[in-house]
Amino acid sequence: MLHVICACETTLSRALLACAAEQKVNTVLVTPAYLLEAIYTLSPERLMLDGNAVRRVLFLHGAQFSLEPFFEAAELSFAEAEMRAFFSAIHSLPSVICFNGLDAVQWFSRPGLEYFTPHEIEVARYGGRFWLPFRGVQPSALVDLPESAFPVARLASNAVTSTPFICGKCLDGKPLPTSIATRLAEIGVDFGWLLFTADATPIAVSPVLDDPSLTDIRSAAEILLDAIMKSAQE
Amino acid sequence: MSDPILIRLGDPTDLCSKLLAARAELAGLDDVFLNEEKLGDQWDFRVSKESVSLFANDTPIELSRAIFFPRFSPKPSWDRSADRETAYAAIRERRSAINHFLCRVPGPVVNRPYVGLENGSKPLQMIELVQAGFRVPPWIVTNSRLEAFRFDACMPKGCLFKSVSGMRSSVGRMTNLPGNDEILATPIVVQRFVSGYDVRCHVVDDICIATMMSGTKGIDYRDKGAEARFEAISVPRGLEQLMLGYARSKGIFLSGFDFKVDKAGCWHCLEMNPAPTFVTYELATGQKVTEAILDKALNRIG
Repeated sequence: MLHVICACETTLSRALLACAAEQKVNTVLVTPAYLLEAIYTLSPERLMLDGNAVRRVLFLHGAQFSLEPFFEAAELSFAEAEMRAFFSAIHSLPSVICFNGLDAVQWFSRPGLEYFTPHEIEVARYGGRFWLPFRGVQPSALVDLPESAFPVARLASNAVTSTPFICGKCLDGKPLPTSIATRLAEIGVDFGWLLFTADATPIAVSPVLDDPSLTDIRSAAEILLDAIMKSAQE
Repeated sequence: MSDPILIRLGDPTDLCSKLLAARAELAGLDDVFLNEEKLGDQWDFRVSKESVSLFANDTPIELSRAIFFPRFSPKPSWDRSADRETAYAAIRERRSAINHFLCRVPGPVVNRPYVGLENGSKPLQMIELVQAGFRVPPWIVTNSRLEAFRFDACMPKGCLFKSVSGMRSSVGRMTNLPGNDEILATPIVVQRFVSGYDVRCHVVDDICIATMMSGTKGIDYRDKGAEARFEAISVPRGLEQLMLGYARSKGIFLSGFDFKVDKAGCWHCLEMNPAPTFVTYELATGQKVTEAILDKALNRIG
């Protein structure tokens, strides 16, 4: 059984569940609405969810797990912190294989691109014509920068290309640059978008795959499920 | 060779930072404070693939023998725009930029960004502490009232309930668990109650400074009215090595381990705090945590 943890039903989650059904893999989509009704208990050894021992977990949305529709504003930040704390513990359970489990930093501090590609970024005030927000993936012209009082990641141009990747490989089949792949494996990022400058320097990673610009959702879902099933057999 | 310098960064009201500044002054160590909110006005930095540089009031600061002590405000502000969304984005950008800088500076940083964040999840950290060899009181995390009370009933002295995240919240005996719903809105940690005294161990690089809190009225010695007595205590040698090894493995220069010591003398680890507030312990006992921070950091830069 595969538990897919997801903030809401998405095109990718639907495609993934359809692929899983074709391959006769039992899946449970774990959304906030589901969790509010389910009973779960985590111990140092295992996670039980509605009477089932959880063995394989895929985090489709990682740390961006919003509970906004389910809690009052005054309780929301506490409730979200509690759920993040719960989810983050799952990947350290020896009994669970986790995909896109993310490390504690991503769960608790929502770092910017400096965390994903820490040695690739040049940072200074007012350099270059474009800047890349630490917490964004689209370069902006310097004129759009709020009255600058902090150093920014500089770019000579805004000619940035991006490619989706899953488990160390881009969807076009090319491997990720070794330094990036190693870093992502260290911090538990199994998929997302990688951004390159015009000279092929990787500059940023966005650890979310379910992007409207991802055209071949079906293919992404198949690759993801295949990686999960292979890992489960190892 | 340049003189060593202490560079405090972040929140000007932080008491640990202020105490460290006072200690640095007594030691004749140069001290600079960089207010997070004055980045761009009073100080600036640059990071390239080859080098890192820092400027305070347009004057370059030699970083080869600098000791950094960042302590950030949990609620920083941005006064350059009335637009809340822009301000929020700018604050986060500024913090990310500073973190990037602190990850790249050559000298000791107390502590570097992103270390020890497992502390944001009690179960995550407790699993890791057990894997590292610490004795942690048995626990579960559940959203089921029935499961919570079932676990409570298995423990001879019952259990405490507490939040799952690192957010400060009430800790109580299970008999005081609020509400009646079978399914709780958010999960709770249910952990075996250990009676005894508390110990906070500050690990500074390769030494450990331990403080015992006893005679506490209530459950938490930090609560108002707890009236705990603070005094120095020594730590079992093996446990000290365990703490030093754990902190080193996480790349943490300064950490605060919390223990409960039961009547049999067993030390039960509750958590490891990667940004401990040491002022209370130092002022109550005279133990020299700030002096140790400076001494150990100076040793590192030679």
